[in-house]
Amino acid sequence: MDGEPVCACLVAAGQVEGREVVTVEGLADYANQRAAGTAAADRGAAPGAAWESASAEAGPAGTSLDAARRWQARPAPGEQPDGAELAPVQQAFIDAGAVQCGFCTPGLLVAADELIERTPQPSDADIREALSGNLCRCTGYEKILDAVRLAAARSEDPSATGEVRK
Amino acid sequence: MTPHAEPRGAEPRTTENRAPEGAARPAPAGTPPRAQTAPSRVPTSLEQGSATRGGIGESTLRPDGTLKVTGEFAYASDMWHEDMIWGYTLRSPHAHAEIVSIDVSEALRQAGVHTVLTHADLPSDTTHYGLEMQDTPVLANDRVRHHGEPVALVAADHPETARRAAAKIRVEYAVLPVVHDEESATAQDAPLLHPGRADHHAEHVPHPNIVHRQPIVRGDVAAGRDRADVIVSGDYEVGMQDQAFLGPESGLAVPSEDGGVDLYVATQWLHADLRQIAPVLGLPEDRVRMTLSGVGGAFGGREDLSMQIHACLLALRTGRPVKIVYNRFESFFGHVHRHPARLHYEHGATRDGRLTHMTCRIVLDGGAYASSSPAVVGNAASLAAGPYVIDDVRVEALALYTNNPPCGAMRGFGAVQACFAYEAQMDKLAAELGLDPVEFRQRNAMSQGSVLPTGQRVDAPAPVAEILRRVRAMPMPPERQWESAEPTGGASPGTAVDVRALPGGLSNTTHGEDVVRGVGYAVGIKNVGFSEGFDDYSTARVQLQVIGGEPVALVHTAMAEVGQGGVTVQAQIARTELGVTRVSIQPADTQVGSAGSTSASRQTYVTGGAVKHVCELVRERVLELGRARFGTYHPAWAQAELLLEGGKVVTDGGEALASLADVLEDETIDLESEWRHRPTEAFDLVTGQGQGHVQYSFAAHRAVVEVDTALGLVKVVELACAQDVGKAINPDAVIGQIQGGSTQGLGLAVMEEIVVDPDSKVRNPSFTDYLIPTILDTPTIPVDVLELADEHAPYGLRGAGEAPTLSSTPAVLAAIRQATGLDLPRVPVRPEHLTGTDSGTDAG
Repeated sequence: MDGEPVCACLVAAGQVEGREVVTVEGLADYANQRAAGTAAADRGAAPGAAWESASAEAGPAGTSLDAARRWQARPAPGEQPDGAELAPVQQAFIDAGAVQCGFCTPGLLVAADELIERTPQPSDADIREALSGNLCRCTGYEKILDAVRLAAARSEDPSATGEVRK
Repeated sequence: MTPHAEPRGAEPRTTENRAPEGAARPAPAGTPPRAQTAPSRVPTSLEQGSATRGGIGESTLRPDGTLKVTGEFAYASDMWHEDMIWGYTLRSPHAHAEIVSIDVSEALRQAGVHTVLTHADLPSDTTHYGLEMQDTPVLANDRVRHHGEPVALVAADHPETARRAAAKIRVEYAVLPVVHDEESATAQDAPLLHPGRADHHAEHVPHPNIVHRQPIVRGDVAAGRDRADVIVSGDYEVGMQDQAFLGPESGLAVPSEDGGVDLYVATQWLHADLRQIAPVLGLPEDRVRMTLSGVGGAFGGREDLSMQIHACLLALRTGRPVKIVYNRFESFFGHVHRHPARLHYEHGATRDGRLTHMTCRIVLDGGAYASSSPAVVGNAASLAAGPYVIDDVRVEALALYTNNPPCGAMRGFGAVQACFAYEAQMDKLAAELGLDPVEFRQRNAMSQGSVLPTGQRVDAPAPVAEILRRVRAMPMPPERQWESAEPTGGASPGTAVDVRALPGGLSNTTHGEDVVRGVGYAVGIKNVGFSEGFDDYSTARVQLQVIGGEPVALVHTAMAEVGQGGVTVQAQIARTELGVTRVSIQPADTQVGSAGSTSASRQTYVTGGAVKHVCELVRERVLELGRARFGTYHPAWAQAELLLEGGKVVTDGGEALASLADVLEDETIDLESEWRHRPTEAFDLVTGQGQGHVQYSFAAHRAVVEVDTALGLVKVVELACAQDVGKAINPDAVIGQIQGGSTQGLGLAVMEEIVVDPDSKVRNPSFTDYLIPTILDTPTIPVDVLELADEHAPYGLRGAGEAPTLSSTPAVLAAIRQATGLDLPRVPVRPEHLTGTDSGTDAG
C-alpha cells in the first residue's frame, strides 16, 4: 500500500480505502488463468482450481471474501454436521446460548479454546482479556462468558477428560 | 475433485434438506422455473427433534447452533455459484454534487469486466425505491445527495478486478453546498433535497426539507406550568449510531430461464424487498424469487435495500450469477443509521414530586433519503413522554432531509433518542426537588389503565414502578472491585490491584487514584409491532404428516432469522400446539406469504402468532379426520376439548384417544393462513391523538460506573436490567436479547458514533474508528425477567428485543453524571467531555 508492504488485515478492516494498493497476490494468478483461456473455466473445475490458488495466498487481494469462500468449500475436517462429536467449547457455546447470529462464533471459539488450553481454570478477567480481540454484536458477551466457564468446567471434569487436575 | 467443483458433495445436510427438492414438500401452485443450476450454500432447512417436549417456556437450543459452531452455517457472503461473477458499487465521494458526466469506456475496456451500469441503463421507468416514500434512486441520476451514494455498478470476474474497473469510471462532479442541520436545511434559500415532492407528507410539512412532522397536543400546558413548583429544561443531543451488524451486506442474484431472477440475500424483510425490487427490474413480482440466506445480525440496518437491486440488474444484464459482498468500509455506507437527534425538553413538577406538564421538540436528522423517517418521527413523538403519567403535554417531532447519511431503522426506533432526554430530565427534576430519583420516577410511573399523550389507554400490565423496584433491589457490585478481583500475580487477594477491572484497563493508567463510582437508573417505554394503521400481518404455512411412523410438522414462513432465534421459537410453538417433537423449519422465502419485518420487537408476537394460528387450524383438521375415522369408537371424540400431546389426540383429562399416526395415516395436512394483531390507526396530524400502537414494552436499568476523572475514562462495572416480557417463550433467548440490547445502549452511551463533518462527509467508516463494545467494555449484566401476561397477545407475550436498548444509555449517563457532577447533555460521552478539554466543535 502506497509502496509499503502491509498486512492483509488492513484491507479487511477497510483501512486501505482511497490508498493505492499496488500488488495483489493471487490476482495475477487469476489474470494468467483468464489469459489461458476461458474454455476450461466454463467447465467448472477450472475456476475452482483458480480460486483455490488465489485464495490460498490469503494475500492482500484480501477482500475477506476469499476467506469466506474457503469456509464454505472445506468443512472442518472430522466434523460431521449430523450428530458427530463437538469439541467441549463448541458444545458449551450451544448449551450456554452464546450463539445468536453466529457470525463472530468461529473466531471466539478459537480464542476460547486457546485460552482453556493455556489456562484451564480461567478467571472472568482472564476470559475477558483473552476474548477482547473478538467483536460480538448480538449477545452482550454475557453468555459467551458463561460458555467459556462451562467449557472450562467440563474440561476439568475427570469423567469428561479422564484426568484429575488439582 | 475440488470442493468448489462439487460443493454440494461436501454438504449432505444442505442437499438433503433443501426445501425445493424436498420430497415432503408439495410443490406450491405454479412451480417457478428453477435457475439454470442451483447455487451451493443456499439456506439449510433446519430440523430438530427433541426428547423433551421442547414447547414454549423452555429454553430449547437453537436448531442452527451446531452449524454455527462448526463454521458450516451458510451466510450470504459464503454463497457460491458456478460461473459466478462479482459486482461492485462505485459511490460518490461528495455529499452533494451535480453529476456533469460519466465516462465508463475505460472501465469497460479492462479485461475481465462484463458490464458497467449507470442510471441511464436502468431497464424500467421505475428508477427509485424506498420503504415509505420512493425517493431513493437505484443509481444516482443527475445529482448525488450524500457521501457514499451509489453512482455506477461494475460486474467482473474477480472482485478486485471489479473494484479497479470502478476506479476507472470517470465521473465529473460539480460540488454543491450542503445542508447538514436544522438551520441550514430549513433556511429560506436552502437547497431542496427533493424538489417537487409528491409524497403524502409533503402537504403538511412546514418546509420541503422536512420529511414528516408530528405534533402531539394534550391537556393544557399553560395550566400545568402554573401548577408547577419547579420547572427544569434542557437541550440534549444524540450522535449517529450504527447497527454495526457483523455480517456485511451480501447476496447472490441468479438469472433464470424465464427472464426472472432468483435472489439469495441477507435481509430483514423479504417481501418488502421484493415489492421494491421488482418494479425497478421491470419484472412482475412472481419472476423475482427471493430466499433468505444466512444473516449475520441486522438490528434495523437490513430493513432498507442495499445491494439487492444492484445484483439483480447486473445478473439480468450479463446473464450470469452475480455476487456482491460489501466490506466493512462499504457497509458503513451501505445501510441507514440511527437518526441523530437534538432534543429540547421542559418538565414541571409539584413539591410533592408529581409531574405537571411536559413540552418537547425533537429534531431527527433523516439524511438524504426518507427511509423509515416518518415512522421514526411517529414513534419519537408518541413515546416522547416516556412511561410516565403526564396530563398536559405538547410535543413536536420532525425529521429533516439533509445531505448527511440517510437514517432509518435501528433497534429502539425513535424511542431511544427520546428516552435519553426524558430520563436526564427525570434526574434533574428529582435533584431539584430533593427526591430520590427512583422514588420520583415511581411516583409518576404509568400503570395499566394510564392514558398516553396520544390518548391511547394502556390496556395491558405496565409494571413500571415494579421493574424499577426490582432493578434497585439487585445486590450492588462490591466497592473497589478492582481490589476484590482475583490478583493476576502472586500477591494476596484484597491488596492486589487488577488493572483490568479499572478504567483504562491494561493501559495501566490508574490503580484507583481519581476513580469515582456513580450509580444511575433509567426506565423506558417502547411500542411493539408496526404502528399507525399499518396492516401488520404475518403468514405461516404448516404441514403435518407421518414420516416413518412419526408425526412431523413442517413450518414455513418468510420470517427473517437474523440471529434472534425466531426459528427456535417457531419450532417451540409448533410443538406446543401440535404435540409433536419433530419440527422442521423451512428456509424463509417468497414462496409463502409475507411475515413482515424482523423488527419492532414483533416477530415472536406476529409470526409466532401466525404459526400458532395455523397450528390451531391444523389441529382442527386433525380432529375432523379423527372424528371421521374413530368417532364411533369413543364418545370422547364428540367432546369439545381435545388436545394434541405427545403425538396423540388426548382429552383435556389426559386420556389418549388415538395416535396422530393412526389419525393421519398417509394424509398430509397442509394449510397456510395470515394472522394479524389488533388494528391501529394513524396519529392525527394536528393533535397527535390516535390508537397508534399495538403493545408496549418496558425495561429498567441500573448502571454502576467507575470514572477516572483525571483522564475521562469510564468503566461500566455493572448494568442490571429488569424487564417485563409478558411470557418468555424461550427464557434463555429472552435474556440474550436483553443483554445484547443493553450492550448496544452502553455503546451509544460511551463510544459509538458515526462522525460526520460539517461538509456531511463520514469520517470513521471502519471498526478501527467506529467503536463498538468489546468484552472488556461490557460489564456483568444481571437480568430480572418479569412475566405479566398481556391478554391481547399470543401466550400473553410481549415483544422483548428493543426495550433494553432504550434505558441502558440514560442509566449509564446518569451514573457518570453522579460520579462526575457534570451535565453531559450529549451521547456518546467522550473523555474530553469529562475532563473539560473538549474543543467544543460538536458537543454541548
